[in-house]
Amino acid sequence: MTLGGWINLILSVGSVTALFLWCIWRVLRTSDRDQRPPE
Amino acid sequence: MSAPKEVWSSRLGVILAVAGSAVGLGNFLRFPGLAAQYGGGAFMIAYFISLLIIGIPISWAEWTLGRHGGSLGFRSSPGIFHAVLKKPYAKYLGVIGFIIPVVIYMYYVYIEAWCLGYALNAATGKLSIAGMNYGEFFNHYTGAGSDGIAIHFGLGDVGIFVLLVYAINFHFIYRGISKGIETVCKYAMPALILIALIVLARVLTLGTPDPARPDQNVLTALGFMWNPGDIFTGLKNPQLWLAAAGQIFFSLSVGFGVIITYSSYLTKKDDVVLSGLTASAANEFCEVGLGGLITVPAAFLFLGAAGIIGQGTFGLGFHVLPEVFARMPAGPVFATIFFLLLFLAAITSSLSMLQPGLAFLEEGLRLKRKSAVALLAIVTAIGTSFVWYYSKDLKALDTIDFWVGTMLIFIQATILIIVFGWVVGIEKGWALMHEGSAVRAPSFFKPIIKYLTPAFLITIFGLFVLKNVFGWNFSFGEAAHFEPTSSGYIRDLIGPSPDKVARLSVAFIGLMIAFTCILAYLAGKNWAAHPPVESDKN
Repeated sequence: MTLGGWINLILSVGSVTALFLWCIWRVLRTSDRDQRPPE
Repeated sequence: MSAPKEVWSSRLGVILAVAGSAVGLGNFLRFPGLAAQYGGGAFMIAYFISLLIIGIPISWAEWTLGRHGGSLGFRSSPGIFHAVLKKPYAKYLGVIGFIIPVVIYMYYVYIEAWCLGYALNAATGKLSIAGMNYGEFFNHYTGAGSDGIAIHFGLGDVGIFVLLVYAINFHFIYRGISKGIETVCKYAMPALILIALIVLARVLTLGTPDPARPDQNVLTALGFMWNPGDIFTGLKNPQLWLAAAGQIFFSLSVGFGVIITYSSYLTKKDDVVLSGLTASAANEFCEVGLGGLITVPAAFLFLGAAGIIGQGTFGLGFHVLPEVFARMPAGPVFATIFFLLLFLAAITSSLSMLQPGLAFLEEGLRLKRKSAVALLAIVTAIGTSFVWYYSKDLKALDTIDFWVGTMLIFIQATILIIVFGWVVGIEKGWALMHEGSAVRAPSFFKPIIKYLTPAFLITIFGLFVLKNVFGWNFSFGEAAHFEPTSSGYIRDLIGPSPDKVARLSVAFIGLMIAFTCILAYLAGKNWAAHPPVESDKN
């Protein structure tokens, strides 16, 4: 595994994992009754 | 006529359902194979650009149009196009959103039966035995060796599993959106991720499984998948872009007819921006974060590069991996749970393929649920029987997958994004999208949705057609060469020795299109006579 391979793996897997966790956190944080677009 | 009063019981429920629809066999089998084939670096760049330009925008457009159509009282793709465009031809634009999921279900459920059958064969010790001829097993089990040989119903045959998965799918689809689809996805999706994490932990802790081959260890296996290679040369390859964009496109199930139906059961108070993004992110996590670290590295560890190169999705999943599990400590256990994982990924997708069909039969023909389910079961059973019988070289399955599961999806997605960005209009579409939203989409997505997404999609589709239909060699000027019969799909139809099954498959697709257009015509009459009630005009 080259340095480029590690960078590729970490960026790819890290970005989708971070996005997924952020989305789940936002979904769970926002209750179904409180959905207002932030201005 | 009032629309069926079905709703999702929670936001997480609809997200899991859409994610379940998107996460399928391609996440664990197709994506890793493509990334390894095209070199991890260039492929991932093209992949993430495609996610930003076509994946997420089309997903948002489909969620928004679906919810808007639902608020106008429609649940099906033909109905929603009819309501949004308000033109007599509109319902015919939407029929593709009925044909795609229903026809794909016909062969997808057959593959789903293989997964369940492989899982039970592994659990009973009949699979993943060292030295076993997996190609021969696959050819006999799936019928790829000869037409008709897979139609047997013993415990070791696929037949009983086809019947079983049919019964499971129609049981849950009959129970409805909340009690059926949502219930399955609430349990299946977390279970799928848990199993994938267990298999991933096993793969990453294998070290160097064969001391005689020290070059086949976990690090070199990950390197085979993720080492970037020559990025700039890779990015100049149009086939790489085609593969990356195609993978994003089919993996997210956008333009499929599923999201538009699922989101029609939402109200204007429900968010679609965050929900659409979360469902896409869940799919990407399963594909890149789990699929990208499991299948190809595991295969490389035991078989080396030679065992992987040239294997397609089915080759990797049903020839290579059983052999990999056979050589792995506690292999039968991991083979069982891996094929169970594939089964869970498949059933959450196949369920989603039935709902658009059911919604159209209910609202278009005004059928009761029991009658609609029965009609849908009969129609899909005819198609599945066709694919099941004409199984030699999986010709019927492959032909239908190309013309419906690839070509029609491109067309439907293009229609969808043009309707959203140009017919509804980007400003109105953007406003509709943000009604009830929990987060705001970055505003740079507006020009992307209006200009870049349709242009990118049409370019990719154009390249795809030029290559796969007209046999273009991707060269320009004097070097350019077109040979339609160089494409197997065209050669099967009009070549010097056409394939009977391929022609029958295309004729079957034609019949389905004609049948659906007749249904759309009848539905239009019904909607004119009994306009649906707008369900939430708040």
